[in-house]
Amino acid sequence: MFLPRALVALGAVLGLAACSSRPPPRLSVELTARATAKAGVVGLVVHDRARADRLRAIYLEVVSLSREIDHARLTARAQCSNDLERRAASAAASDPIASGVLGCSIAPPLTDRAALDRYTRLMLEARSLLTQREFEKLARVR
Amino acid sequence: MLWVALATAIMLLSGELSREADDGAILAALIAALRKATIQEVSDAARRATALHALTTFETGLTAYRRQLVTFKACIAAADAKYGATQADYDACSGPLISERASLRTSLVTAQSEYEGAVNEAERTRVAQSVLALPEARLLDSARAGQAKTPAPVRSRGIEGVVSERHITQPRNVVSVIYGPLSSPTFGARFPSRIIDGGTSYEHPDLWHVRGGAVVGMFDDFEAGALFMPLQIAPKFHYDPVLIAFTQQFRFKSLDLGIRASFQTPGDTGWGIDPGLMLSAPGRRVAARLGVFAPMEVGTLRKKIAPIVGINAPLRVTWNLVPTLFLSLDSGVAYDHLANQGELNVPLGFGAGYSLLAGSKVIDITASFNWDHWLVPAPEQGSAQLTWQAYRIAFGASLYFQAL
Repeated sequence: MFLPRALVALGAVLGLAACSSRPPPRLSVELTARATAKAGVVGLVVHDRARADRLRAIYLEVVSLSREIDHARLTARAQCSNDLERRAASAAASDPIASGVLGCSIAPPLTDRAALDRYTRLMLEARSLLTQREFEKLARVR
Repeated sequence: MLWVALATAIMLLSGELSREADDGAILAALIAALRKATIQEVSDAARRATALHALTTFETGLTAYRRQLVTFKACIAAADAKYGATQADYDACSGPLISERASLRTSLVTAQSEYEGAVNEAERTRVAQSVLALPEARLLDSARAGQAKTPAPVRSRGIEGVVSERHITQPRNVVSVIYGPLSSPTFGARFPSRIIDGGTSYEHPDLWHVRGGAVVGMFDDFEAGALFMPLQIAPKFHYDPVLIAFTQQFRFKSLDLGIRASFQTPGDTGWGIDPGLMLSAPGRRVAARLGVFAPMEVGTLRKKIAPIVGINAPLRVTWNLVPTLFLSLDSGVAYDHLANQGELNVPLGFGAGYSLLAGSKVIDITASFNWDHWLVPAPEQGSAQLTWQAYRIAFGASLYFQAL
């Protein structure tokens, strides 16, 4: 009696998880996943050691790029929160809109832009090192 | 204060390249709570309507922005998948997002202004207390954010391709379905009463086995797995003991140290236990792995036996002729039952394999030929013996893929 109930419960949990409205991961997670998947197997696709090594380095740089941005963002977030809280506590600076502090809390576009530019450069360099056939084989990895 | 928190949340959300998972669902929960608290705390109908309108304005902007984020991700993915993609293709992805972000900023500022005009100080305090008490509000915890540390480099979580470059354990998130010899989890799996390897194997003169299982990289350097399909096919069909193994790895500059705890479910000689250490030197073309194991079979609670304890020090050298094709040499020393005289063995084995990248998966097609008791240097009687007749052939394929 217990087993069927347990299976039903398990099914319900899995069903709920599958139907969850939780959104898909952010771009950085996807970029990291794509780069990580390719970094490991690039040696099986590109047999020329020098090219394979550089490509692996490029994919690993994409992973570290995400990490660096995480760190920068967490630091910026802490800084903004602290500034905002400090100003909110002060009666003189009660207008966060006029003070421009609110803008600080919205991610500085330039940071992401620079990261995206760096990512683009890496991806374009990867293309220059790959033949179309190799590229397509790696693209199928993830 | 509440808007400070929400603005911080938006900062999280608008970080397109941030590594954190999409916080949109959490933010949506917070806004729903904000709406509920506003309805409860703002008694004046007109002011309440204005405050709720402000929230709706903000939500609309947020929804549009999140939709644009999805488009942006799809655009980048499409550019990544196109061989002829140029700088212009990537630039085209970010343009709409930047304008949508500016629009979100405007909607936030407008909504905040409208909301604060409608809700008085006391009501705002109560609303903030109610919303910030939610577990979801930890997303907005500045103290937590302030603890940001430089991230430590972690092991890459993709499949490892070239055999000689592989580490002892699977990377986290990588699963291998083992149905072939020469795989890492069965290295050193030599118990006093049986030698375990994956795949189909024939042991002279008439013993056939089929063994398969799976291993999962659970953490960056920890894997767990089992050969849960251990069948003896001939001369008589029966289900062999299941091998279960846990391996923790420590990676150094050019060496890996692995600690393995493995055991077998009870067979004729009861439970089998095989703890051991491995030292591995992965390389670009050549890899070497050395292990020291203390296999033992200890009976069961019902069927007690004097423990059969052995010692096994396997050695494997793998040579990648080309990245996809490898050869291996197995040897070492093994003493299958320390209580018996003259059971020291030197095994000898050869193997070969081909690593195939098939879509997102790597398949190792492998075969091995072993003399498990090749040289007996000091038998109980007589001089050193070479044994050629007792050989074992195994073949099969193992599949590696990323779980997520």
